[in-house]
Amino acid sequence: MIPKYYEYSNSTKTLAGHMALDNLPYELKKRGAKRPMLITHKSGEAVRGYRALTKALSGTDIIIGCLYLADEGKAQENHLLEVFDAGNCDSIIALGGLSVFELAGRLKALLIRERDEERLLLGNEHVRRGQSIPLIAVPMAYSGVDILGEPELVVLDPRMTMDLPYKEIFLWAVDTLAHGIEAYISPGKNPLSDSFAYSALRLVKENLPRAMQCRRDKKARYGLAQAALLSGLAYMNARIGPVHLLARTLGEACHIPWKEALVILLPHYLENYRVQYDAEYGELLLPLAGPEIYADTPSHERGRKMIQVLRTLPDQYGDKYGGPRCLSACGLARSDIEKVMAALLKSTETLHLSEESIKEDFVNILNAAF
Amino acid sequence: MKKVHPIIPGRRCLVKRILQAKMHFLAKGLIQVVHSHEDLKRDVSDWPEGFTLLLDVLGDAPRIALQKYTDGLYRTDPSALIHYDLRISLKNIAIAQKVLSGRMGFCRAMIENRLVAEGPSVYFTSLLRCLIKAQHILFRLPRDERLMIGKRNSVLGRLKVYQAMLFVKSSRKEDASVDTQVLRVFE
Repeated sequence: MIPKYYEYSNSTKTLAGHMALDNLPYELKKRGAKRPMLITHKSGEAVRGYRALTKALSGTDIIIGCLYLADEGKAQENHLLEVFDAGNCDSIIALGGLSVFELAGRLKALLIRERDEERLLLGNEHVRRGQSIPLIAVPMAYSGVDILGEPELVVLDPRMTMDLPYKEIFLWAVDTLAHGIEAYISPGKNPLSDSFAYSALRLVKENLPRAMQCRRDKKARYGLAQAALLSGLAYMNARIGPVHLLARTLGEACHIPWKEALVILLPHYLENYRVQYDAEYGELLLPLAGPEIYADTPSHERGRKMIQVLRTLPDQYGDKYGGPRCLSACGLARSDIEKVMAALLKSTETLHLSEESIKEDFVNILNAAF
Repeated sequence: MKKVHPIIPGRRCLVKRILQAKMHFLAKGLIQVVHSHEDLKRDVSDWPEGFTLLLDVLGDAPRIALQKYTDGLYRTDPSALIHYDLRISLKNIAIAQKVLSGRMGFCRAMIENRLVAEGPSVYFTSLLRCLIKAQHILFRLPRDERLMIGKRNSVLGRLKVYQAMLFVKSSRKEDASVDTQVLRVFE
């Protein structure tokens, strides 16, 4: 179904594939940047990513103005600006995952605001019009799913798809599926976000079994990273995701690993809204289960079948995933549900939902997943 | 003001030297291939006299220049060049290493957006045809690229070109620093 009116914004250029990172100096120069600020986090994978990045920049006249390690929860806005100015930087490279992208997006917003204020003070002729700060996102592993702040450039290099444990691979894949499905059924959906979501689901279906069979399979890892980026781009434009919100709130309020909670909640959430979105679920059976199963299932059964496929995913990879199958096994108590509801009602992301629907639907989902 | 230390990535001097040598090899090969193949000779004869082309790697990396004369292509000194008519730049050193050693064809490099061209598109097409042909003769390209080009190439033919490259004169130093654009204006 095509909405009567929709807007789709995606100014992000994507470089993906073999030696994509090596094109970074060219892209930086094209944007007039010579001293990027590198934001990353402290981890073994980040070090490997950093090495690949500096190798790609070597042999050119580009210098990393300064290196900022994102320490979760401690980033001070003024400190970020101070480091950016001290390094005499002119662009931002975010290398890592969600926390890094968040920080880089915040810094870019601050810098743009500062320049706008400067423009107001000096008059237009003193400051170059349209001057912006190039933000380049280099997702590690499967963090393409979390890309925020509409970066100018996303670099997806197979070298950055790290050798993660099987459990992590599975959790990322389910996160990608959840992003894709939520984008496909959200009220903000449109034909463009649909195509991204659909492709993401198909790529997960093709590559997850191979990645779970051999985690060193580079092609499978790269396929999953592509899927993550696609579902992230789909989600960016249709960004209402109740199941993610619920899983994250559980994580924050009850200290449960939110990705494990997402694996449990996703089928229950879809089941709760099956009457409303049965047609969309049915369409998603094709990329999720393949043409044979899709053709064998009668059209009125496809929605139910799609949920069933998702429900059986943890069992299919049970020996390698080994995560909990219900919220009580995650350590959630019945009394915690009240706490979660209170946190959800306070959240700004639930503004479009009525209080009754939050209380009714979300309590139902939590009870079913308990 | 907080003190921060910039990180300066390596210079890769050795890699650049090797690239320079590979570029000279390709230039010599191109000259020889144009000289010995009638269809390419016909293509090049359509270029205006004194037509200058530059092949380089973006950034502070090696480059070569070729100039067209009545009797074929010749190398010129790129540092003495004031103007060029056509420029083909490979976007980075890693790709240049692959293309100049025949592990990736110019055809694929163009499809994958690995190179940038500057200049009239008519000449770019014929130059690209020459480069693809030269690369096909000089190196054993990957299978998919060989299939894309279509024609088979014998080892003996390659050896003949290598032998000719050893003896052929590839540069005409006396005209190297002449600004061809100025000459053409006077013509």
